[in-house]
Amino acid sequence: MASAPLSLILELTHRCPLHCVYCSNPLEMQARQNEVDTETWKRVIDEAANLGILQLNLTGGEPTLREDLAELIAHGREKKLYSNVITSAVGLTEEKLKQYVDAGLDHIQLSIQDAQAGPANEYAGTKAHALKLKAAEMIKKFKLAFTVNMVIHRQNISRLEEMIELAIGLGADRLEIAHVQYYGWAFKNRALLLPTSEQVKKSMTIIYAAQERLKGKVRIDFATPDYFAKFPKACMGGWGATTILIDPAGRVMPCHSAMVIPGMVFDNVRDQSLSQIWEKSEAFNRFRGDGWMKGPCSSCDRKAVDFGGCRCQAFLVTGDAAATDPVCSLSPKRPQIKELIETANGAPISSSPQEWIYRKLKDTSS
Amino acid sequence: MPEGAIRLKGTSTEIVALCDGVRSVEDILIILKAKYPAKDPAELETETMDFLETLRNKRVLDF
Repeated sequence: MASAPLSLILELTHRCPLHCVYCSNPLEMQARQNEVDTETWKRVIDEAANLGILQLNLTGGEPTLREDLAELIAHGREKKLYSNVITSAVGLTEEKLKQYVDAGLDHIQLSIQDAQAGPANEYAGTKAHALKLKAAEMIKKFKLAFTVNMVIHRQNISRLEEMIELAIGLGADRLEIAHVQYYGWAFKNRALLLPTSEQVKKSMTIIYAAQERLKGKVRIDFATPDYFAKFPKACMGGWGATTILIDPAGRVMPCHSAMVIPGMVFDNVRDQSLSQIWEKSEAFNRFRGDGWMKGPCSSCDRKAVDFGGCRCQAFLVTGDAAATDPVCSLSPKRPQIKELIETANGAPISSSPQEWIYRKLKDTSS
Repeated sequence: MPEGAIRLKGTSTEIVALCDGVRSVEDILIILKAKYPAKDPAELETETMDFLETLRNKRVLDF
């Protein structure tokens, strides 16, 4: 039996001026001509509100590339949803931002790749850093909750303190620091991104200290590096439990990387209602609850805590999507993760633009 | 709130409903004390302040 979802994530487009080396978009991206139209998105927002969803997350790619973004925000507001735009800020003008705020935008998230322009532009595959700093000034002119998103990894983690200072200086109300999650493009670039154990340890100390120091002023949310944890993350709060993600072509998924799992069939909002898909679709029901679990998960006390971890990670590392998440210390496949960490610990730390695999849309006409 | 939701029950719902951006913490305490005369006022104050502090740390509100 499906519970009521809380959060809707609309990947409005895969088009993006950035080519981040750890981009969470899938390897096979949707071109502009496949994107869902405004009327369908509005219907989806209506259906989401009826399902009990509270939050409307508008992301991409770069969502501000969609001409109808303000219209969709306004529609979300009409349905009393809390709206959030996740942007690279490339192409974001004050005029556009004003339209979004006037339409009822509650929250904006700005991604920043590093404290310094050189490396930030290297990881983003484009010269966007200076523009982002200007965008933050622009955002501060509006009454808008402002989060800075920062992804940390092997190459930039040594500048973590500087990055936190930058975000505070930009006036962030909230700072989200996330270790790279190894899916999509990040899985391709894993060797260059995976930090050493020492780096991870140091980063945790820095983050906990910053959380304490900034308590009551700036909230710092931190996504743990699960390769280094003892137990897996409670991925998505459980499969098909709280979140619905829809890709630019209208395919409805339990998470942003579910399409890596073989045999997954995603229903489309162009053909069916959201509630029908949420309740009945094979994709949402495949790993819902704990009936699908095998040992050691099926008899584990933690199965209601972490839901067996992440299905995509289980597949990517072990080849079996129903296996225990291999980052779990109880997983028989844990040695594979241990080996990766040991390799990371022994390798030199450096990167150059030539080494990265950058994301690119195949269709360049869009 | 960004990237999350808080499930409110009982009096926590009432307290949040009283936070309208105009009333002060003192105003809110006066209203609550009047509504719950049987509750020890000092205890009511501590519990309310703890709850507001939790919300502040989550950056849901300022006071």
